[in-house]
Parts: sequence; C-alpha cells; structure tokens
Amino acid sequence: MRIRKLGLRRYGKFTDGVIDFGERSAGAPDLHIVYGPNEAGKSTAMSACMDLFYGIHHQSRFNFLHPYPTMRIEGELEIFGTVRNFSRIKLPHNSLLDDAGNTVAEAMLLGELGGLDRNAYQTMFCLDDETLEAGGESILASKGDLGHLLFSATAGLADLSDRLGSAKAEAESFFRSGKRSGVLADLKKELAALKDERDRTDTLASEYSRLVIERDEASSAYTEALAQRGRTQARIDEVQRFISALPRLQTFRSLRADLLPLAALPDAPSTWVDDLPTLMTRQTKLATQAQTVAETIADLRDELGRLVVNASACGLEDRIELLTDLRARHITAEKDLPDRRLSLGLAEQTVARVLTHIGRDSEQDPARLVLSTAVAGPIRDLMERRSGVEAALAAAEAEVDKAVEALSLAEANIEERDGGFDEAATSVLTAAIATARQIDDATRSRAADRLCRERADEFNDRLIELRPWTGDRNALCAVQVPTQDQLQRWASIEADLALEIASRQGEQDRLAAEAGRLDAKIEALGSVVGVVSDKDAGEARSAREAAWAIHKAELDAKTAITFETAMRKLDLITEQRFSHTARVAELNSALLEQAEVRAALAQIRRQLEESARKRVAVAGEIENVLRAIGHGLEIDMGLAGFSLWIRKRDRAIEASGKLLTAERECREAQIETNGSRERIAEAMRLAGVDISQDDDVAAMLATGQVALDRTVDAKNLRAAIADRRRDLRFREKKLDDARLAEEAWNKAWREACATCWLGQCEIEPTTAVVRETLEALAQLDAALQKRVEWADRIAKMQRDQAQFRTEVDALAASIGLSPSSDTLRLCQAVLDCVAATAKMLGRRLDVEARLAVEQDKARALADETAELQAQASQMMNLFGVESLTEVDGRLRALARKSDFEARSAKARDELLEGVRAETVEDAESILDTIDRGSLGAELIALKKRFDDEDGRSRDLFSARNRAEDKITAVGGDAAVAILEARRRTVLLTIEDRTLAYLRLKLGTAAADRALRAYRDRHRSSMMMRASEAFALISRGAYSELVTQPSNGSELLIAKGSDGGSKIASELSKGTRFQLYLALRVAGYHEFARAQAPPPFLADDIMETFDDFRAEEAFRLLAGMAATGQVVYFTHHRHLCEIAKAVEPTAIVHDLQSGTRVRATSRAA
Amino acid sequence: MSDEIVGSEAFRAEADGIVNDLLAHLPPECRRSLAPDDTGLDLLIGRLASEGSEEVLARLAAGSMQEVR
Repeated sequence: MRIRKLGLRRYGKFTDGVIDFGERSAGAPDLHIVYGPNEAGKSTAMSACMDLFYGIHHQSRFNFLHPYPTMRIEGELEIFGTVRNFSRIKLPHNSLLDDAGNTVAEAMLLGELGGLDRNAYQTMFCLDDETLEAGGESILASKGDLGHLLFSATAGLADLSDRLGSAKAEAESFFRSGKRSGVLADLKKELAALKDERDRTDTLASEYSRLVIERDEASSAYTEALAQRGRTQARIDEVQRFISALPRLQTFRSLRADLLPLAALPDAPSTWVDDLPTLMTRQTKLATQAQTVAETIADLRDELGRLVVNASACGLEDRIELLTDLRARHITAEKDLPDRRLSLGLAEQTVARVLTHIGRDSEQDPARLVLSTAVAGPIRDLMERRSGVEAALAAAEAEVDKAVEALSLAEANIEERDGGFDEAATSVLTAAIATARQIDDATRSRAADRLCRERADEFNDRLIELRPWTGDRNALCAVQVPTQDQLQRWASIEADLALEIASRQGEQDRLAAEAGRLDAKIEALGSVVGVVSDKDAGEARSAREAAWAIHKAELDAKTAITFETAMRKLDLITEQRFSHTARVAELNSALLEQAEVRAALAQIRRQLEESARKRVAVAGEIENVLRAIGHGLEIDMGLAGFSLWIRKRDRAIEASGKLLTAERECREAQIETNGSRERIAEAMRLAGVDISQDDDVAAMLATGQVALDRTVDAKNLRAAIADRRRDLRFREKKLDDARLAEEAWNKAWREACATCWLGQCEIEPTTAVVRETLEALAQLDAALQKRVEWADRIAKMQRDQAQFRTEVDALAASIGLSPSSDTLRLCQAVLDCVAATAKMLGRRLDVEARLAVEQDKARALADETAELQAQASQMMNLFGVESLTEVDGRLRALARKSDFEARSAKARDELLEGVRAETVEDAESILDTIDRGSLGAELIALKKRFDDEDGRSRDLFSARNRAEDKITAVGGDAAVAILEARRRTVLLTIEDRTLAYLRLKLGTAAADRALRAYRDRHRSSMMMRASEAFALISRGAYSELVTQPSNGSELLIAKGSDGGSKIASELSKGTRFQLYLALRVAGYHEFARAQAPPPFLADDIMETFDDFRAEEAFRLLAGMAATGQVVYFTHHRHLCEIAKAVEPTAIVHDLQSGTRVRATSRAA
Repeated sequence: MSDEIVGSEAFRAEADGIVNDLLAHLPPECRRSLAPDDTGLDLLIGRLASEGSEEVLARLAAGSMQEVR
C-alpha cells in the first residue's frame, strides 16, 4: 500500500487541507519530509493516516473545530496495483466510503495492510521520540538477549523483557522449586493449622452442652428481671403524671374565671382587626384631598380669564413655512453667485485651450468636433488590435526559423544512430526475450534451490532433536523400533503397575498409621490403674493355681503365705477388673484389632514387593530394546522418553522424505534452466546479436535488450524527423496568415477615419495621433458640459431672490405691519408676530385641559368617601357605638377573649392527658382526692426500687453474655462445620492458584521457546542488516554486531572500531537509541522480505541527534524508502536540508504554505 | 506460537516436568482433584499450555496498547 494523497477535509485544525505525496518515481526512494512549525498539525496529520486506515477513534480528540458528525478524511491510495479514492467519516460502523459515497468493507484496506490491526501497525510502522527512548530502555532490560532484541525490533514491542520477567515473577511468587517460602507454602501451613484446630474442637463437645444449659438459665433470669423493672418504671411514670397534672388543674380553673365577663361580646369578622386602622386612615386622607382639588379648580379658572389671542395672525402656518424656505434660498444665492460666475469663465477658457491643442482654434461650433460612440468605438477597437497583429507576425517569423533549425538537427542525428537491424530480425529478437522472461527458469531454479536448503536445515534440526542418538540418515532408516502394539502393552502394564503400587502404598501407609494408633491406645489403657488385660489376669490366675498346687502338696507356712499372696493378687485383679469393665473390654478389643492390622500390614508389604519386581522386569525389556538401537541412545530414558524419541524419529524420517523430494525438484529445475539457456542463445544468434559462451541467461537477456533499445531509438529518430517537417510546413502557413491579417487592418483603419472630420485632413493620421486627439476631445466634451451647467445655475438663483421679496411684502400687509426696504428685517418681524400668537394659543389649551382633569378628580373623591362611610356604619351598628374609636376598644376585648379560650383548651388537653381521663369533670374528681405529699413519698420509694432492679438486670445481662462467650470459645458442632468449610476453601484456593501458576509458567516457557525460534530463524539476515545500519549511524564508532552464547541464550555484542566490545545492555543511553533504531530498520527490511510493507511514519525522532547522526539516520530511512513509502514529520528546517543533501530525490511538503518541494528533479 | 511451540514434543516434555514438579508439592486432595489419572494429567497440561500462551501474548499486547496510549 502507498498513500498518494492525504485529504484532511474536516479533521482537527484542518479544513480542506491536502498533502499530495504524488506518484512514485521509478528507481528513486519514496522518501517524504513533512515540515511544519509547532502547532502546524504534524501529529494531527500522522494521526489522520491511522484514522484513515482503521477508523476515527470513538473518543477522538480532533473534534475541537469540526464536531464528530462532520469529520472527514480522504485518501488516494495505491492498492492492489491500482489507485483508488477512499473517505473516512466518524461512524461506529460502515465509516469507510469509496469515491461514489458507497460503503466499502474494512477488509479491503486490512488485506493490503497485511492483516495488521491498529496497535500492531502503530508499534511496527510508527516511530516517535518516546518509542525510540522506550526501545533503548528495553535493550537495557533484555540484558543483551538476542532473541528478545530481534523480536522487539520487528514487532515494535519495546519492553518485552520487562513484561516476560514480571509474568515469571508473578508465577514464582506462588511456587518455586527448591524453595520453602511462597504462597503455596503459606496455604499448606494454614491447612495444617485448621486440621489441628478441628481435632481439638472435637474433644470439647461435652463441655459445650453444659455451657448451653448455663446460657439458657441466665437468659431466663435476665428476661424476668427486665419484666419486673418495666412494671416499676410504669408506676413511676403514672405518679409523675399525677404530680404534674395538679398545677395544670389550677391554671385551667383560673382561665375559666377570666372568661366569664367576656361571654356577652358579639363575634365579629376576624378581618376587622386589620381593616379598622386602614379605614380610619383613608377617611382622613380623603377629606384632605377633596379640599386641595377644590382650591386648584378655582385657580385655573382665574388664569383662563387672563389669556387673550390675536385672531388675524392665526392660520398662517403654511405660508410661514414657504417664507422660511425662500429666505434660506435668498441667503444662499447672495453668498454663491460670485463663485458661480467665476466657474463659468474658467470653463470657457478650457474650451479655447483644447481647440488650440488640436489645431482647430478657429472653430465656431466646438460641439461639432466631439465624436459619437459609433465613430470613436471602431477607431479605438482598431487601435487595440494593432499590437496583436504586429506580435502575431513577429512570432510566426520566429517559429519558422526555429522549425528550420530543429529539422536540421534531427537530420544530423539520424545519420549517427542508425542501428542496422531490419524489422524481421528485430521481431525474432523481441519474441525470444519475451519468451525467456515469461518462463523465468532462473527464478524457479533459485526457488527450488532455496527449498532444498530449507529442507536440509529442517532435517538437520530433526536429527538434533534425536540427541543423544548420533546416527546419520542411513542409520535413521535402519533403526528397529518396537511396534505400536508393543509400546501400548508396555504403557498399559506400567500404568497398571503404577496404579497398583500407588494403591498398595496408600494402603500400607494407612495400616501403619492404624497400627501406631492402636499401640498408643493400648499403652494408654494399660497405664490406667485397675485396667488389666485378659492375658495378665490369666497369668495371675495361673500363678494362684500353681501356688495352690504347691501349698496343697507341702502344707507349710511358707507355701501358705505364697498361696495367700497369689490369691490376694488375683482377687485384687478381679475386683479392679469388675470396677473397670468397660475399659477392660476396650483394651481387649484394641489388642484384637492390633493383631489383625499387623497381619494385614505384612500381607500388603509382600504384595508391594511383587509389584516392584514386575515393574523392574518391564523396565528391563525396554532397556534391552534401547540397547539394541545403540548410537549413544540413553538406556534409562524410560517408556515415556522412549515413546517421545520414537515420535521424533518419525518426524525425522518424514523430514528426510521431504528433503529427497526437494533435491529431486532442484535437479529437474537446473536441467530445465540449462535447456532454456540454449534456446535463448540460439534465438539471439539468429537475430544477429553477439553473445559470450560464459554468459548466463540474465546477461544474455540484458545484451539482447540493449540491441533492441538501440533499434527502437533509431526508429524514434526517424519518426521525429517526419514530425519536424510537418511542423515546418505548419509554421510557414501561420506566417502567411499573419501577413494577410495586417493588410486587412490597414484597410479598416482608412475606412474608419473617413467617417469623421479626421478623414478630412491632408495626411492620413497614425494611431498615435488619433490616440492623442481622442484624449483632447474627451476634455473638450467635459468643458462644454460645465459651461452649460454654470449658466443654468446662475439664472435659477436670481429668480429665487425676486420671489422672496414679493412674499415678505404680502405677509406684512396681511397682519398689519408697516412696509420696509430691508426685506430680511421685515421677514423677521413677520415671523416673530406669528410665533407669539401661536404660543398664546397653546397656553390657553393647556390650562383648559388641566381644569378638566381636576374636575374628574373631585368626582372620584366624592364616590370613595361615600363607600367608606357605609363600611364604618356597619361596624358601629354591630357593637352599638357612635364612633370608630369605640369599635377599636370592642375589637381588643374580643382578642383577649380568644386568647383565654385557646389557653384554656390547651390546659384542659394537658390535664386529660396527664390523668388519662375522658372528661374534665372526671379529671377534677380524681385529682381532688389525691394527696400531694403521699404521692411524693411513693415516687421516692419507687425510684429506689427501680435502681435496685436495674442493677440486677445488668448483672444478669453480663452473666448471659459470659455464657455466650464461653460457648463461642468452645465452638461446638458449628465450629467444626466452619473449620471444615474453611479447610475446603483453602483447598479450592490452592487449586485455583495452582492452575493460574501453571498457565503463567507454561505460557512464559512457550514465549521463551518462541523467542529462541525467532532468533534462530531471523538471526542471519537481520543481524547483517542491523550490523550495517549500526555501523552507519554510529559513524564507524562501532564496526559490527556479533553474538555470543551465554547460559542457553545468545548475547548481542557491539564491536568498537578500537577493537573493544560491549554487551548491548552496557552501551551508553544515546548509543542504545541508535542500536534500537538500527534493529528497527533491520526489522522493517525483514518484514519487507516477506510482503510489501505499508507506509512507515516517523515523528521527529532525531531531537537528540547531532547533524552528523541525523544525516546517517536519513540515509537509513532512504534505504527503507527504496522498498516502501517513508514519511518523516519534523518542525526543524535544518533537518529538511540534511534530508535533501542525503537523498536529492526526497520531497519536502510544507504544511503551512501547502507547497511541495522536490530537492532536485528525478531526471537530475 | 500455539501451533509451532506448544505442539512440539520438546515443549511438551518441559511442560510435563513443570507440572509434575508442582503436583508433588500439593496436598493429596488437590492432586487427586487436578489430575485423577494419567489421561486427565495429559489433558490438563495441554489445556493449560494453550491457555497460558494466549494469556502471555495478551499481556504483551496489552502492554503495547498502553504504550500507544
């Protein structure tokens, strides 16, 4: 894929922005530098590339100018060998459109991007300052491991080592072989502690039952104590209520007495209390206002009588307006007339000057000389066309000279480059070369050879996997291995024996433990005083019988004592056994069980030995077979290892078969290549091309192509001569046309001059004379128009002055003023008289209007006074009084009555609540019979009792809690269940953590193996490129990169130009950046080796590079650009110059000006 | 990685060693639950190897996504 044009229609700060990368020039690196200062939008453009490929992010930050629904990116991309236009809009789905606006499947772009997703693309084909620094740090973290470094560089994963290391550390925090610490060890300790606790809890079951009974008794006593305390508390509350109700009864009776004198007052509306003050205030206010209005009406009537108007000066408004206008014109005319007369004189002088200029000073009618547009238009048109006619004639003459020269040059070249091949020979040669290229046997041969080498490598890998077996290819096929049935039989026997041994081992362990338990039990029972076994009792009985037999025979004192001792001992044993019957039975049972367990233990040991013997026999069979195979194969690898080895052997045989096939195909391809070479050589000899016997097919094709190119050049030159001749004929015809056009112009010029007075001159005027004359005539026309205009204005001013004088005289006569010679002063007297009359009339109308308003106010005040009087009468009638002041006294008494009633109701309610009675009378009868003193004494006694009962309740509560705590401490059956549940939980935790550990452990092991495989596969090509790139970018400070084995891995080592060497992780920080860049370059080429790479985007990665390092870095980028498109974004102008110096064909795009600058042309 | 590495015999032998090493240190109840017999053990190793490689790859990819952000 390649970006030909990136259209930032509405994206970020861009509106209709375009970066045109253009078409790729053949043979030149596709390197582009996008330059722009800070905030010009470089990162935005880079982000737009990603969003075009993969869609605009759902929370894109580039919507600050164009909101999401309007965002749009366009791109002209080269994909699948064609150029296509795409648009990307902001939608969750179907956001990729073609140039017709139809939805396009995302797979179309993804397929061209090699299936890389957005993250993979960013890590592999985008590079900025941060990723470069992170890459340098990853070199440090990898400790120089080659596999990590190569994979990191190709995949762009910067801190691969850190993440793999953290995964391993996480796994080993659970378990690490050979270590006693870790999560697993902790969980096992917790499991053992739970088991011990459970065993201990079992022995406390009986104690638990006793404590439960104690707890229940304490609970009953506590409940009874609480009930008694509640009853005492209830009586205390009742006594306190009665004591509190006594003062409330007194209050109630006092209020009832206060209410009696107010009972006769009538009820009044509640609003009267608020209305009365307002009513009294309004009454006073209305009386004052009525008096004021009456006085104002009398004053206005007096003023109206004093105002008298002059009737003859009324109705002259229209004439006064006209007079004012005429006076203004009169004054303006007096001031302007001298200037206007001067302007008229200047216009007449201009006319005379122009006539002299054009040589017509004696002309009587100057207006006759001015040309109409019908005459002047064609003359001006002909003058404009004159320069075109002259230029066309000169150009045609120059083109004819040029064509003659080109024809001469082409005719000279054809004599030098004629190839000498005829058409038939050229056709034969062309067909031969085309056929050879189509077949391309050389490519097939190289492919077969490469496949053959790969198969050989694969077979060698398979042989290595068979080690320590050291046989070769023939020995591999000759190896005799057991049949699959035999292997399965051994496996079956081994599995059965393993199962059998494990089962018997478990049984043996169980029996041994059981025997130990019984031994301990018998020992414990035997140590109890009085518990004697049947055996010991039988021995005592036998001893007594023997003593009796001796005594019966001897009958002396000594035997009697001996017999007595034996008899007493037996009696004592018998008595003790009677008193411990149960323990004795238990002891006997244990002894019997011990005998059975020992017998079973002996049996299981014999069976175990038999199973072990069988297993040794099977192992012997397998070792015999391994010994027969030989070639260093280990004979103690076991059945599993042997089966694994056989599977590896099968794969090695399969690889051997593939190698044979590849070798055969390689030979066949070589034979066909040789045949093809002979055919091409024959065809070229027939075509007359000289070739060498040592040339290979490619060299022969190149020689033939050179000959063909020479023939084609000669043919092209002949065609060029024919073109030159046709061109010369065409130019000569154009020259004839130009000459004819000049003649036609001369004729039209004469005819145009003849239509006016210009044609009456003795000599035909030239275009220069006519151009000057036309400009002078334009001045003459303007001066004539000015002269007419000034004369007209002077006449109009003189007429306005006469009209003004007539109007002033007429008005003065009508209003009785004396005539005067000073017209302006008389006009002012007329205006003053009319204005004074109008002012007097206005004042009279104003006074009449104010009088009408005051009369309306007087009527409204009378109506309002009547309404107020009606309200006052209603109040006074209710209470039977004569004034509103007395009404106010009655309303205050009513308020006091209402307050007494409310307080009385409240006291009654509190009294009923305190005594818990239905009516006031009941409450009064109860309280009247109570003695306040006896109630107080009872309350004191009750409180004392309550304190005692409260203390007892607390004690009982504590006793019950202690009993509960003891039960909780013992645990009981629930504790056993809880312990068991906890134990199961720990077991499940171990299982879960085990699975997680194994997943991580196996995953990291697989990743390590994958890295080693990647290293082995890509080491040679990537190391070579990385070494070259590192030597280049370090400017020879380091000559090459080499590897060295270390503890199962390989270390990357940089060799200095001074002969020293450093492990990659020990390089300085800046050098690590350069090494990472070199590895990334090698990774890019490694990717490009397998498929066409997408565009590589870099954002100012050379911030810390000096100019020399930057120059080398650009040289690397140019190398990448030879394979695919590389775009470098920067805000440094000097980097653009460096890039152009390193790669002259690099194209610089200026984001601000929108220009596209190529350092030099491709041709250059 | 799942096809080329996890399916290989060499990796399988290494995985057997890792799993058996751990099983020997587990309580008997857990051992019986995880691997009741040889067949169960084989299945367990295959499943854990596949899941483990996917998990490690996901961790590496997740790390690269954080870098991109």
